[in-house]
Amino acid sequence: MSSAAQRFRNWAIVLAVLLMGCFYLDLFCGSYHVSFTHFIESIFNYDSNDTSQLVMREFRIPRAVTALLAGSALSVCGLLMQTLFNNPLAGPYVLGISSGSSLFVAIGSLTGIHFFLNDYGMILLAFLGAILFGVIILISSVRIRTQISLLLVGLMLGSMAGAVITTLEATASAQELRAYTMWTMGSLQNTHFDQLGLFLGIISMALATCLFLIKPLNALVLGEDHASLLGINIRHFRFLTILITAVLSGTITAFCGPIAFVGLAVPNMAKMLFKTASHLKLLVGCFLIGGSFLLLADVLIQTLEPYFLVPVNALTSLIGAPIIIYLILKRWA
Amino acid sequence: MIKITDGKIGYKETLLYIGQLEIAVGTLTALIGKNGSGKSTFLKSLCGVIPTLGGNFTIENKAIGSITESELSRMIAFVGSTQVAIPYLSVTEYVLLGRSPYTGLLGRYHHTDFVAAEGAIELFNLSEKKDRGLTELSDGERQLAAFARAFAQDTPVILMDEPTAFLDYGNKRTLLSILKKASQLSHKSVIISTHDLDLCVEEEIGIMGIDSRQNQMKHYPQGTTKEILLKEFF
Repeated sequence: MSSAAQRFRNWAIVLAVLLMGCFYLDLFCGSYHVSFTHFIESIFNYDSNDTSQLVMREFRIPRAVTALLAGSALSVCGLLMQTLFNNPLAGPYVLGISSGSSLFVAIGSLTGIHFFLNDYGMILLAFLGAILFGVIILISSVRIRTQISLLLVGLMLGSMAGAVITTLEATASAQELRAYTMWTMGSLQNTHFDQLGLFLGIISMALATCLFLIKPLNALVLGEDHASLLGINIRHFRFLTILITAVLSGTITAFCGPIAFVGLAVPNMAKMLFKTASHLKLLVGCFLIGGSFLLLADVLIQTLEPYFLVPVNALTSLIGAPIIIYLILKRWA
Repeated sequence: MIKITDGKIGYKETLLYIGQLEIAVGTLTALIGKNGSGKSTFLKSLCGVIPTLGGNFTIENKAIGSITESELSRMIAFVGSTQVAIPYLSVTEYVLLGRSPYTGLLGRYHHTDFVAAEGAIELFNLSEKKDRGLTELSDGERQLAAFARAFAQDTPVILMDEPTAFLDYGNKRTLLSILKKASQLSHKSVIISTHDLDLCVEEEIGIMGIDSRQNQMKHYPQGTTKEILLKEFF
């Protein structure tokens, strides 16, 4: 086995153990003590009169699964965007795809159109917003040759969405405003146990589709022209990539609100750790590191909860932003 | 075998007219001409990046316009004029990417792919550097890796846009002779665009020149003297 393959295997094992550890910690570290038996029973033999099982099923399991899925899915999105746009600073948040979700959710929740004011309505809105902005980015990417211009288009989309949202906020009622603001802070606690099936289904389907992107992603590190000369159909690939990103980040944003920096920081961490450009390995890395990242963030939030409430978005920015600054400094130093 | 009759190429307007051209297998051909005379345009038109403006362009008796992307990737390999230096991409991984046209939907490499990559790496004397990252190589070695990737693609035709531009005199010479040998050994038609007229004459490489006064391409047999070429093209 070559040293690169060995490096990947060793790190993958370490990260998998870390992920499981974080998951366990997130389930059992809260201020209310719950045993492992309660965990098993709450899933297979649920008794709502037992407080321990209730805590497990209603709070701990949904938020741990949500953290795991959101972290890994957002990281995978980031990796897809970074390779598609050939830019290590790309991500669903930077490119404005999350802004699309925010805009649509804001329109739904701040204008009082009650049709959308249930869980599925919010998911649909976030998803549509992500798709719409994804398509705009996609169309721009066909016309624009330089990636930096594309990032600027993403930023502009973001600030346009921000402008509309601010206007909506100015006219919204206090209650609507509070609901929307809470949504933007991001939360891993809004998913209910019965929604986990849907959540898990969508995310794992989209993640499985990524396996078909490995070949074009690997070729695309050489640039679009070269990838096309290696027999890759760039149009199909672009379409599928933006679609998967929109589905993943749209779903996550719908359930958890816009979560910043995970999609940007984690793929870069995976690249530094694995030192490879092979996207099968990087996808595995993003999945494992991303999941652990948000689970750890949630453990931190749970630990701090008795003292003060930290919104997940604040925490990821707080951890993520310095990582990005470090990467930029290291790159251009 | 590449055949062109009555070919017109360029961006929208015809930049270059090619009356009759045949490039045989097992040869290395140098494409020379002034800056802006259409060398890169010619290469890009051949590999389908730029659509041709008229005439017949065939590779292995198939018209270029009618070949699908995946078919084309098994007929032509291309080495661009910009250096490929991607962080964390090792020489082996890079050369294996040349096998993409032959892998399935999931892109898994098979035994034959590893053998082909290994062979190409050996051909260009990179065996000792095969686990290195591309960014850790010298300009010359990086260019060799690009050649290895193109040869691993196992196509009858390889096109290279100014592959020697970054190299020092010694490396240019070595590369040209390796390329010449490799194209003969593996029965490929290799076309490179270059400004290194002296070296091409010295290494006895077949020369195609673009006469930018008449916008035409001419084929010159091996052994044409430098003086004639200079007079014709510059």
